Amino acid sequence: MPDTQFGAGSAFDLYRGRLSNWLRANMENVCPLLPRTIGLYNDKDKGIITGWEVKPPGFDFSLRILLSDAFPFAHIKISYVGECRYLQWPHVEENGFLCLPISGWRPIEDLVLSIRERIGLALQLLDDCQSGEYVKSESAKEFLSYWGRSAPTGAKALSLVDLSCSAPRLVSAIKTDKCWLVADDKDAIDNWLSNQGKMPPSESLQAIFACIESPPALPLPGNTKQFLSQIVDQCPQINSFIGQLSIFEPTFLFLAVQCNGSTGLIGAKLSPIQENGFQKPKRNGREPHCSARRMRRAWACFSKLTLFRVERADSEWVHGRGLDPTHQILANKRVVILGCGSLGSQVAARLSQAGVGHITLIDPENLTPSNIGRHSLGMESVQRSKATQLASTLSAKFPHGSFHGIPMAYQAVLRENPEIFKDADLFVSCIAETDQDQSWDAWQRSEGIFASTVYGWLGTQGSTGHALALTNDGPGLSCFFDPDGFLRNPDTDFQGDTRIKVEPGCGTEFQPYGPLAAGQVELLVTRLCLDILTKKVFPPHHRIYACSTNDLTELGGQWTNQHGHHRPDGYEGSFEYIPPVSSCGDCYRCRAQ
Amino acid sequence: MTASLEFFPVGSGDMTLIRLESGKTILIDINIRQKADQESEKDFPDVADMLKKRLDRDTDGRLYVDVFMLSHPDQDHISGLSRNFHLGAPSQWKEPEEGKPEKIMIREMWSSPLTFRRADKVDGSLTAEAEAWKKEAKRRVKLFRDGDKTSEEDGNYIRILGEDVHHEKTEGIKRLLVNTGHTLDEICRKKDSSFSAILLSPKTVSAEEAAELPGKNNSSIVMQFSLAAGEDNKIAAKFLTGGDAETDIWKRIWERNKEILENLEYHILQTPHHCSLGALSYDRYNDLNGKPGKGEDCEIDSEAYNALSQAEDNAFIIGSMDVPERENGRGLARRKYTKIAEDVGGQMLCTMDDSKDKPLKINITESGPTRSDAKKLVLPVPEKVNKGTSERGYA
Repeated sequence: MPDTQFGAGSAFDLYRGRLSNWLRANMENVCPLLPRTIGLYNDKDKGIITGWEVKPPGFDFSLRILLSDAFPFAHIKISYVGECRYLQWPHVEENGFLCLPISGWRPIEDLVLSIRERIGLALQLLDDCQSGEYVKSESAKEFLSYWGRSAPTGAKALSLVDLSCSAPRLVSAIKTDKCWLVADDKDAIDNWLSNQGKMPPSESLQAIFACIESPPALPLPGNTKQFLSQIVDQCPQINSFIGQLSIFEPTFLFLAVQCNGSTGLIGAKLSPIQENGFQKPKRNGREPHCSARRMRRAWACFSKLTLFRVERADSEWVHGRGLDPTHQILANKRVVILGCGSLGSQVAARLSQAGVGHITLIDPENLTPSNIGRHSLGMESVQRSKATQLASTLSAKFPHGSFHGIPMAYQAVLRENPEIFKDADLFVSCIAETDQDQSWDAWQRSEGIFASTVYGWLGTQGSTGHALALTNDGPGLSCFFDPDGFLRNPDTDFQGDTRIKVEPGCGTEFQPYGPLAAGQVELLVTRLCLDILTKKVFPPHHRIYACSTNDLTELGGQWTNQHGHHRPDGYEGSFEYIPPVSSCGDCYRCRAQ
Repeated sequence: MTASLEFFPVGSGDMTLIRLESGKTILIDINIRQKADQESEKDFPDVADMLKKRLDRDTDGRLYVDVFMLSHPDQDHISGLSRNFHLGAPSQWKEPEEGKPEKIMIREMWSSPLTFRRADKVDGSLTAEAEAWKKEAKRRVKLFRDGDKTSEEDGNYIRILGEDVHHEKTEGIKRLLVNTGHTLDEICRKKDSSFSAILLSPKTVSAEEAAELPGKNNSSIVMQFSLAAGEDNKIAAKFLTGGDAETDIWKRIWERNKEILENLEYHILQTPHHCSLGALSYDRYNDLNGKPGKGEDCEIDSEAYNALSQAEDNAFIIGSMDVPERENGRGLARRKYTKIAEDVGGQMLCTMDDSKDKPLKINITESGPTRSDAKKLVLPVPEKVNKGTSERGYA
């Protein structure tokens, strides 16, 4: 097949040709790059596929003009040809590749302006890098990148440390098969690993966590002495911890630095001191007494430094890169989900993604093959408990969280383990059986359980979806459903046909809606849960999703007059609305009052 | 940006690279001597290296020319073909072996079939390089004739230049044909607004005429290129090139175009047959085989002269050769061309004299052709104005 992406006549080829002309008319010593040179830049991020080496007139060095496979829509890339400045100058990567600003003229807009601007930026950067002050200030802005690139292969760690506490402290570090793990204590590491079904190692290494004021800048420390004086001395309390630790054991330091409104972590490993006249530990395990000052000097002189790339894997980072203002609230919330079917399982998955820290899942049923099309679990979980399998899956995905599955009906849990419900912040019922839900509502009121319940369900054929939040006070679920389970104020009318299907041979009853209809309602319910947990709204509160008129017609239904009060004039698309919530005055509860 | 013409210092022979405003490259003829093998050729510069430095690489890392136009298959126009160019299916291109030259992809060939048909009959057998060109041309034509989709692929495409009215072999390949008098403005199947080219020759109207025009030289492709410069693709120069076409051909070209002189106008002329007197006169300057030469009394054919003297102001006339001795046919022809150039304020230049160590370069700027190649970096650019939206298409 003709190469239509890059071949003659392609946008790539057209602009490449014009660029080649411009370079040959305006640059000196223009020479197309050999494939092996292109290969230096052809990693997955850059995707460089062709280029030239050129010498800007009036300069005594050359540049490489590099085109990625997204040219001419992507910027022209440039690398510097000369003495290696990687990890010496900011914004200069391996093989002299220059990280230039992403703003500015694109080749597709104006090729000449684009190449002139790019070369101008490159020359400006190279000129700026002659200034030590520039090197320091610019590299500090991207300290994580430079620190990580300076770390040897394999010197990487995942941090579970709670960064909301900035006090310097001793923490735990252990080596796993992939990398090092660091957390506030060994229990946190053990939990994190066991949530993923892994066996925790038995021993952890000594490690120190602290926050420092200024991010490290180029040139980065090349030995322990420089590391201690340049980095550690920003937080003098670290020295007291260093003094407490054995110099005959490898020691980790994990340092947090505030930058761009969030927190980054760097790491270093100090090798144990084994020679140079220092006494090794005596057989009884006691070490010779040294002053903290002497210990520090020993570290500085005789310990080998290894920089470590540290990636945050703590909850705050996983859920919002440290920038979600609601994270701390959600991480401490406890949510109990009743019913882990097609809707409940997806709501559970969304809430865990949003950072809700503790979720209990209750469902007595096992997963069947016919569930999988709409469920968040897959075939590997068939014939297993929906609740425990879901908890297990979410634990593996979010090992910093707490997910607990109970393969029982909630009534049984109420009998056997009612304290589970006592400290919940929110209940979510996706049971989709009105008698069960009404029974729950009645129990919640009778017990005076304060936490709200969000009821989620889909209307006939999935044409509507509901998220209804109620408390133990005010309107009850019976204000919305009649005793037969029909809505008192329906949006749709299917001429008396409930459209409920039954699996053959007295099988399960079900509504034949698809995953997309369930997806709309999953979001509706999850949003309401999060809004209640973060106190953006308060129960009673009702949100309704309505499909488009076309979709409803195709399903064989029509809108009711009641729905017409909410649908905007002339609008036939899908939408959400918030109806007023009030007691019906007609249900058993209202009549009793 | 600018277009350019570069005439390589190949001694006597032709090798010209046109770089269009669009960046496309058109190579006309090659005369790449195999220096390593021939002691006598060591004085010639390494034009293969010069050429390769001027070409771009495709995304597979292969050097390529967009178009290779062979004016005619004489050795001084095709020497070095198989050693330096990939011939065969593009997929068969390979990295060069140790010590062997890297091969250049020819995205599209421009070839005249008349050249080869006549060569068999009149000039004896073709050289090995000419046979290689012919074989590659036939391969590409066959792909097209067979309806093979890869015939549209870079490295498989060909255009057939020239009309041969008494030949039937063009059936089924009309899309590839460019008839004499017609304009070509496509490269690699796409219209290129930065150039157009009128095919002036070869053209035969009868078997008798073919017999009257012996030799490969007279089946040379003669073409007038209009070359654009600048953002608006405005035509900034015309370039006339004619391989080794001789007086008979230029007379016929004049006859066909004397009412449409714009077809013969030029800002740059590549003198036919490396400034041979044979393009301007039937007479010989020097004695040959007992026949006395006419020396300075050689009669210049007025029609051929007319065809080759439609120079625009400040025109460049380029002879791809050493500066000839005064007392020979080339010397006389050079004086005639010099006069044509000087009459319009232009210059007559010789590749081996005026630019012996590198290609003689004519830049085509918006204000016309110039030899100036001064490079000055102008970097400040106007700040890009935000269009007033802050909504990103992709978050």
